[in-house]
Amino acid sequence: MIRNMHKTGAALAASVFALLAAPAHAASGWGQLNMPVGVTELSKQIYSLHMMIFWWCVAIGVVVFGWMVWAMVRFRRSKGAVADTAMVHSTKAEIIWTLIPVGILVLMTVPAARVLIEIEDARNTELTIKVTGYQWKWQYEYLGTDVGFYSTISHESNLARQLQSGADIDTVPNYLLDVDRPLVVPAGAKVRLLVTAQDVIHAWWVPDFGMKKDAVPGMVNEMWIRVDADKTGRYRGQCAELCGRDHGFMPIVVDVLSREDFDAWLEAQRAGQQPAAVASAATQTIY
Amino acid sequence: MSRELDYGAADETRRRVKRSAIVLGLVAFAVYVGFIVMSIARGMP
Amino acid sequence: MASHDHAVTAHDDHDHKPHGWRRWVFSTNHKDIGTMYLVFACTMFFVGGAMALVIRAELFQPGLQFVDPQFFNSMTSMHALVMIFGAIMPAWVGLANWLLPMQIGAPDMALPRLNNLSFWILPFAFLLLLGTFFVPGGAPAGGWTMYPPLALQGGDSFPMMIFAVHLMGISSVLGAINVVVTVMNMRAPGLNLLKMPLFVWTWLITAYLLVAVMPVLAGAVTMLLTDHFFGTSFFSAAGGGDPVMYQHIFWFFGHPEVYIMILPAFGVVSEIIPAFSRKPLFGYESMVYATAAIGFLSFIVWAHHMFTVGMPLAGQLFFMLATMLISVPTGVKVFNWCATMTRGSLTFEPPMLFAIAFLFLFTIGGFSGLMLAIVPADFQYHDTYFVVAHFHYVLVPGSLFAIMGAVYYWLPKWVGRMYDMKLAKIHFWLSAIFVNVLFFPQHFLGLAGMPRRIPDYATQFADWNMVSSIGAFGFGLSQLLLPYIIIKCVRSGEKATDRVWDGARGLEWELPSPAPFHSWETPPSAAVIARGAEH
Repeated sequence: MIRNMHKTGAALAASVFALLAAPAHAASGWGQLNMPVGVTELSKQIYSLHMMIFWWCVAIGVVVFGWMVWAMVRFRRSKGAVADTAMVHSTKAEIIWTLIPVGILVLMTVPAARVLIEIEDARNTELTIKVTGYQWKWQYEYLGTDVGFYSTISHESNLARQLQSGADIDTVPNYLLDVDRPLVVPAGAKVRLLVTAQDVIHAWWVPDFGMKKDAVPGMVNEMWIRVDADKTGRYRGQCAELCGRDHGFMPIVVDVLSREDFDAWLEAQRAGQQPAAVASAATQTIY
Repeated sequence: MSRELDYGAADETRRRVKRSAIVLGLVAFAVYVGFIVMSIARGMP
Repeated sequence: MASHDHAVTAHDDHDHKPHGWRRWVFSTNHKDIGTMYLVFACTMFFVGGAMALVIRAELFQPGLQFVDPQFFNSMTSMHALVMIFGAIMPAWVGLANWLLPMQIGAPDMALPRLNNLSFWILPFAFLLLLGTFFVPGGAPAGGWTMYPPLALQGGDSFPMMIFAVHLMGISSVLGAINVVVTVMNMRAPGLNLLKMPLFVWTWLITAYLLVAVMPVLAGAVTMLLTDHFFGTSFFSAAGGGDPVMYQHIFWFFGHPEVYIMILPAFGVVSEIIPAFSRKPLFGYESMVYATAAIGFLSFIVWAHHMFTVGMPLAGQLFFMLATMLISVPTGVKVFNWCATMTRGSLTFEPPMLFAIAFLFLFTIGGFSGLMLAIVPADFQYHDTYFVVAHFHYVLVPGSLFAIMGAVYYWLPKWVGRMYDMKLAKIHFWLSAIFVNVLFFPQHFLGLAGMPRRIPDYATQFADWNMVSSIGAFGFGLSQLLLPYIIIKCVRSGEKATDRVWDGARGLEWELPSPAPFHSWETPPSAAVIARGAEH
């Protein structure tokens, strides 16, 4: 039993440690243990909520697991422990361990409710983009302009992901996370996304933006993002609701441009120019 | 063929068993129908 | 024993059970039906487990190596349906059949022929469900939740799945009715409700949940069926319906369903921990009230499965609060179990090992559950491997470990023989280690951004997926020990004593080992009840 406790304890300790040590954008693999802090106003608040509740769980875990381990070490019959059969009830103890959790819950709820209210406040947005899910691609329409396009998985990924394609996955750039035409949004602006779907339910999710929203046919959901002005770059996500055969193969890529670059890009789109030239001006690449 | 178990109790117990089983069955059926009716009602203009 | 013999002669064919296949097909005996349920559950556990291994084999490395994405989706959908409706729930009904009459001093279940019916529906339900693999279009691939419109795209498998779910639902409701009726009417005189063992209590509440919510699922899938074949549009936006309404109805069933699978586990753990602590359960009454509170709360938290679907702010706040509230009665239970061990005299036989692993690992699942209740954080966690890790922590080291602990606890009483303790301990340690290798890394994968139900993934998820797959194969293969241990026990185990475990308390331990074909033909005396019902 001792070994079991050590194992569970070690697993917990390891994860706590790893979570502390993990940088926000660990490149890949073993180090990638925690939620990204993200690059938007809301994603950072969501991250801190996540960490707050995580530490509450660690603290409660220390008490509860500590008690279990102590009881198992201290009261073993092999060590001569004799059962105290009269210890069957204590109203005082039971009231205490009902009320303390209630108190903790209140402490958790208040900040969560505050963030939630902010998330739901989609007023005063500067730009509205309609996002439509299809089996299996995304459509983006910049409302109020005639700019709109589809975004599907990149050709290379699509070839490599075929059953027994024989492709060396490691040589495919951003395997499964690249698209032909990324969504482009301005940094620093409050952008409203209207999310819907054409055929079945999908979900639009970019982890660095902190949120996902279901795309339901016949329904328009609303979410907003404001990427920090200095966080221009390329961010990736995936469809997060099972939507059929190629659910795993409808990635989302968002290029965040500075306001000026974005305006130029939108102008170019309106004029019907090729998008590639400007979009590749997106600065650094995340992941 | 008297294969029925006699639980050593009076017919009263058997009646109660039967009655409560039927009531629970009806409750389950009412929930089933109820949810469908509720959904139909919701779709009405 | 004199009165016992008298009862046998008075009703001649009581102990003359039919032999051969008739004994099983026409069985009205709670023990035989319980055995059939447990064997069925064990079979389905391996069928569902094989599907899980297909999933983990495909996810061992990035790239598609073995299966087509559509078949992968069938695997995830069928794995869930088979494990929930074929393995966990029938296992609990089997345990209820075996134990409830023995624990409440009754000769059998109140409705033996209904009992036979509710079992024999199941093989046909699963024939339909597993038969979908052989029809055009393949097995259901829209997830076990069967969300429309995706589920409506299913081929010939679609109606078969719906009817299979109907049959499972009927089976569960009939079984639940039997449990309620038995517990309410068949208790030995003098065994009042607050003297019942916790397993009986938790099953009673579970049975009420079943009667209330299985028909809801049946209603939801009936509407899917009419949407597909009869031109209704309950869930189709084009026809004025609402696909989100399906999710509300489904999860109104789905969340109590979660507790249907875990409440009996609470009951089992509440029996095993006192037995091996040699000390009555701490806070018996608060345990009962906590179970009832959880049962009630399970009806008002369903929408926490669908926070990202788009809901009014007030709705999100309400469901967040209600969900978090569940942790209070659950916490009371965990603290009571800890207090039961405190100042006890502990030994660590296989049932106790499984109960303690339950305590640790279910608590971890509880923590991730609490995290998932926080709506803004759930916007990140939802539909990722974090959720997969969460519900597998509460279902595998939760429900499943409790079932295996229960089998190791009561098996000697059932068959009158002792199993190989050493092998059972090996089975425990392999299970406990591999279950963590399997599911703990999935927390990391989910937080790092891996969506669930995908057949292939980006390269940054490769490392932990490989670990998880290794854990899966280790866990799956270790489970082969379970039937081996049981068969060995039945065939050649040493004779077990009547009490089996020196700390065991309860009416079932007052019967001889193996327990007689009809448990209590004459109700236990007041003295026996008093000895058995010490909490």
